[in-house]
Amino acid sequence: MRQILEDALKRSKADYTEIRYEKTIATRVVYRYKRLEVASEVLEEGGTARALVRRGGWGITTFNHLEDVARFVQDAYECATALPAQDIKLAPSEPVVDEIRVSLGRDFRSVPLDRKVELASEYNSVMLGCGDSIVDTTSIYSDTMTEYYYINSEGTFIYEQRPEVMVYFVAVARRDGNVQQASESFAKPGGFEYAGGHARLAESAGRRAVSLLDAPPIKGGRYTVVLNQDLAGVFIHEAFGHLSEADFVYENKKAQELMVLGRKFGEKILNAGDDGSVAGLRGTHKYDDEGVKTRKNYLIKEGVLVGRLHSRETAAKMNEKPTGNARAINYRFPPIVRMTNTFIENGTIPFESLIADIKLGVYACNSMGGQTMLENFSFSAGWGHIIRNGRIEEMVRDVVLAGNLFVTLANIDGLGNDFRWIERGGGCGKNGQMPLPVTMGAPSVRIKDVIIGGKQR
Amino acid sequence: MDISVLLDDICKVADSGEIYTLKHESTSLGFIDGRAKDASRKQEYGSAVRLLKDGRIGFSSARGPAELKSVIERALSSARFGEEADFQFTKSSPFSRPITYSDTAERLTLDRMREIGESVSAGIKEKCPDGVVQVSVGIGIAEHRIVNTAGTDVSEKFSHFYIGAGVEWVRGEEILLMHTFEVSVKVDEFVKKVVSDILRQLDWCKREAKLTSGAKEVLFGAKGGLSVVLVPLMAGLNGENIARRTSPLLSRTGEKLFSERLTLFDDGTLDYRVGSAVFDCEGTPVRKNALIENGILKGFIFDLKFGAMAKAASTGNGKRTSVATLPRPSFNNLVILRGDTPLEEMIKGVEDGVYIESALGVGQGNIISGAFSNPLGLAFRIERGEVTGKIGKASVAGNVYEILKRVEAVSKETGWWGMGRFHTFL
Repeated sequence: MRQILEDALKRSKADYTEIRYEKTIATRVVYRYKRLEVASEVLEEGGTARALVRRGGWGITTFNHLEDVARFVQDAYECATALPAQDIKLAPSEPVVDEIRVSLGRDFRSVPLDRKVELASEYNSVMLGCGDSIVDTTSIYSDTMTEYYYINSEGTFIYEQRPEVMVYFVAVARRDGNVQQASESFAKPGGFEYAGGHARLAESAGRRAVSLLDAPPIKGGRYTVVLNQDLAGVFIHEAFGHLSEADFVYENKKAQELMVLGRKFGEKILNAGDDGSVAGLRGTHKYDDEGVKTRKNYLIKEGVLVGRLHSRETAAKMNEKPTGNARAINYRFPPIVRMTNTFIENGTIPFESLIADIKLGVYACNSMGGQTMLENFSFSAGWGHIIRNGRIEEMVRDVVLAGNLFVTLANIDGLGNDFRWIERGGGCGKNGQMPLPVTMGAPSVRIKDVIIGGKQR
Repeated sequence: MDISVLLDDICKVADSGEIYTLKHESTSLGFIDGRAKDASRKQEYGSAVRLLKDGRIGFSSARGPAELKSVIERALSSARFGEEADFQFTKSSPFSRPITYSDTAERLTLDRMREIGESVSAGIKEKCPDGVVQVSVGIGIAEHRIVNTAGTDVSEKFSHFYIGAGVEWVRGEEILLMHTFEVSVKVDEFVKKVVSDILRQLDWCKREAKLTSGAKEVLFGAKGGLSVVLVPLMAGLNGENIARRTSPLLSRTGEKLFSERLTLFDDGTLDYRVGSAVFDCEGTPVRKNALIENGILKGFIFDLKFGAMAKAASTGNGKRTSVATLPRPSFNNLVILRGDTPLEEMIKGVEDGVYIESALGVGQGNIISGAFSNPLGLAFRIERGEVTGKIGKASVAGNVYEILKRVEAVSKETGWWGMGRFHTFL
């Protein structure tokens, strides 16, 4: 393989050329309510060539036949020269030659499809057994193994095995016109051993959908809010992380005004960043899709904005260093600036103390999606609990947090000592590239004065 | 490996089966304000195997040079969990041989594409210096082959060339979005057509008009506006919804359900149209299917599976969106029979109405019932036979099966997909 790619690369007339080639085998099993909807395996193999010329721009080609690679490298060059000069430069990156092989506890490629169907069925039955009010369920099992090759004209060659296994549960409960939904998932870059043992996770999705039927909607207003680790992770990724992606900052004047390095964002306790080098997480790779070594990048240190995320192109444009954040979801797309594993660093306060002096507040848990527009965000929590006199009390639903990112970051006044990485399925979407595997991690986070939507209290 | 050997393999392990292979190559150039920004060339090469075993469908696909043997094995293992079906793979001779390929598309150079894109951009930018002008120009060449255990072995080659253009114009507090698109099997000089369509929209946007609420005469523009009513109607005419018994048109064939001015057919036999073909993606001959004739419901579109479910034959509409998906009933070229009133005269005849250029959220909601309710994207007021300006926020709502009883005219001009314009009361 390496020889074929190297030969094609050698013939390129471009100033810079790279090729990615991927071989993927994937299984997907989907149960919907009482019916098996999908049980299939697909194979996918293909590559992309990207060429840069000084008097043009990026020419990009994708192909499915390895034997055509030389032609598509040439085509990428032709595409690049068809463009008017765009003055694109790449920040320097040390060439590497590396092979990253994984050893799976139990290789899912040798597990028969029957066993995977059985597993998805077991989890589905657990949800269906959570009560008569369960009217719909989705139970998904999926696994993917990608053999990944990357080569560029500066001498880098990388081979990596990229496994992933995932289970995903959605339960919908209904009583009359009241319909409630809850979801749970688990995903890991590992073997079939990680797919088992999630009956309790499926059960918690089913039970929560049922409990939400009895939970009253929260009364709108300003509360002191404690985010659980899951929602805190989503918050830092969605509301803050995307603003730190340099391609966005570079193209958006308003974002440039907002994201000035050295600007104070929060209290001294606040440290946040993105780290593509943590072992065993979904956003982790030794190198990004431009062959740049991943690393821990602080974005906020002691409350001050200290960095942003780069590809080689954006790093050169802004005269900064590449951070290992150029990623593509697969060979059909070019790499763009993306997050990996985004985090808020652990705090020191035990959870009981974090909520101890809250007279009336909200414990907001997990995320059901959200929207951000520059510094304004709106997130729906999966569910919530009222915090009364320092104690977690009744469950509430329709907890929608809205506000201004900078005001909210400044209002973070307590971080728990309970940091954890949230190993969920799904992924991040940007510019039509979705879902990209990412992980988020955080401790419980206390924020004062958060606006919660709903009827005024 | 020889494909007949593979078919023998399928016959050994399953009751019947089909092998589909597709090769697709496309080149596109994107422009912002006249400067080419993106250039890309894409190839898709893949294969899919569908088989029937013990009354269940097995399916698997592969992109890239995967061995068909392993795809067959995977399809077989999925058949144990597959959907129940009782159709047969068939072999038939073609009805017609439309022109679906032109080497003008394959021979088009990047330099020529750049010239075309720059000239479209310049034509629009000249009249709208404050707007961001986005243009895309591209070509695609596809070749597919369908082989089945009933003896079918057909290959076809297709080409297409397209120009898309849009303007994003921030005017005060509002953002105006204009868009148009032209596509053909051969490289066509529809530069002028694309430019003039955008310039017409720009011209109509120059003035603001007030809209008073209530029922109006409505003209659905052929490109975007018409989709408001056609998308729900297409769902009703789709054999999948007949087979699943969810279409309100079920068992109504032969009844006069629409205005006699409305004649609608699906025609995959037209030369130089991108939806035309000799065979569909299941090897069934493509033909011209009458759907509505002078207001009378004539028929639906089917593929093999849903046809069998509805006790009807395939109409040559089994289409695939990629190798990774099973065929489903889909329209080849939906054609509204052109009327005899020029658009200009239609506008002149309107006392108080609205011209809908585009709408948002088309296809969302309970469309199978025929109900639609869409915020308008771009729309213009017509007063006493003249377009008097762009209207602000408004929406259009109704039921397709009600309003299509009241079609007043279908325009002489034809647009995208060969659709006519027509107008009706709301």
